[in-house]
Amino acid sequence: MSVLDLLAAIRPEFDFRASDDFFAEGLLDSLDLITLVADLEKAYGVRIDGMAIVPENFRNLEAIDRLLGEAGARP
Amino acid sequence: MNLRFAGKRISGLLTILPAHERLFVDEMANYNFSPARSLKLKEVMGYDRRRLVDGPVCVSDLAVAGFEHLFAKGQLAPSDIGALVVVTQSPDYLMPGTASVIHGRLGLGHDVFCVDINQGCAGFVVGLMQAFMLLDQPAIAKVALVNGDVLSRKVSPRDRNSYPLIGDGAAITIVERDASAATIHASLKMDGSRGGALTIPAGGMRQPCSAETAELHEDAEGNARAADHLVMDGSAVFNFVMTEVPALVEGLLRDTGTPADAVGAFLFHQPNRFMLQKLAEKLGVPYDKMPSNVVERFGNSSGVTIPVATASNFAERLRHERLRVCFAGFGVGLTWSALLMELGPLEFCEMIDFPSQGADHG
Repeated sequence: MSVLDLLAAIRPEFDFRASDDFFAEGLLDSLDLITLVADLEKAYGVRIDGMAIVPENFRNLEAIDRLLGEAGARP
Repeated sequence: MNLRFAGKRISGLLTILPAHERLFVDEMANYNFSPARSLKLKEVMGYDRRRLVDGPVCVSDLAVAGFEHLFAKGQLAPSDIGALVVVTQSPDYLMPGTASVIHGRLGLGHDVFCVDINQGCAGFVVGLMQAFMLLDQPAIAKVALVNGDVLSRKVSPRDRNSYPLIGDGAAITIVERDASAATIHASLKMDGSRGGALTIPAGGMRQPCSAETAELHEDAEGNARAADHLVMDGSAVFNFVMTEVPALVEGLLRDTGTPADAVGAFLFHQPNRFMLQKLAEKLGVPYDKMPSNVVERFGNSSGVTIPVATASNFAERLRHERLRVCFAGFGVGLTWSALLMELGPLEFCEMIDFPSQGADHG
């Protein structure tokens, strides 16, 4: 499942490709972030460090890809 | 600040939880979110069932029921209690203190040191520290530490950040001298400059309750709450816990030369399952050594969650065995604390229900 699919499963009403900042633009809130982290960990078999769970690291698709890379997820 | 205590032990522990159980799935309609989003959160955070007081039940009601249970079973006598330390953020009254209320209702003697401490999720560890210090007085042979909160009465039922996880309850922990006890090591830190991350804005002298403070306002995330209600900056609290708590616990283990695998159980405050699993990962502790099942079974009752985690997961073992435990509490203040000690065999380690009163405040 792609990151985009996971995001769409959380908030199907939004187009995440069109946003540069999911939090500032109201596509995700702080509790959605927790759900997203759990979904990403499950889908990509990684563990995301608790210190990295801040909105800046999940604010857009590029930031999430970068974080997944750092966590050791295979592209 | 690092503290150490010699010749002290916990001899018994009792939790008193309201019998009234609420289910998250029955309350999802209260929140301004789709059922699908709420159900995903239920899975990740562990929202499921929790215990709430009904009607005007107060901390002293739960505590008095607990003491009467101990007196009836002969596990404690009123004359044993040399000090009564009550840790709560939801006192019966602004004055007198809840310790005095409980003292009066139990008919305790005049030579009992009574004190309230306003602490939250670190309140079990802070209360233990206070109890250990009181035991340095020869006149005090046993301290009854009461942790209690009925904070569901101060959380908006339309606040998805806090209401699904809040629980009510009380715990009585008996602490006494024991010359053969191993030294207890503790660490405590405070940062009042970040206190606004977890607060009830109205109800004190700064902003007394009024019609205005009771008005609900919706925040950017769709939660409705009033100034009378508890408000938590979830992101700030999460970041605080992840930044400060592992460093504190690792420091305590390092300073005492204790490898993590020599600790039998990491009994931490129970904010939610996700945060506890992240703490376990950060500390390199297996999930089964750090219970995270209290929110899903009983709710987060602030300073009561460590006794609940202890009694609900380890009661049988602790009645017969000695376990090296690491307690950690963190939250309101902001305060973060950890304590390393030998626990058990306990004279009692039990959970009882406080009967439902029939009314419903939700």
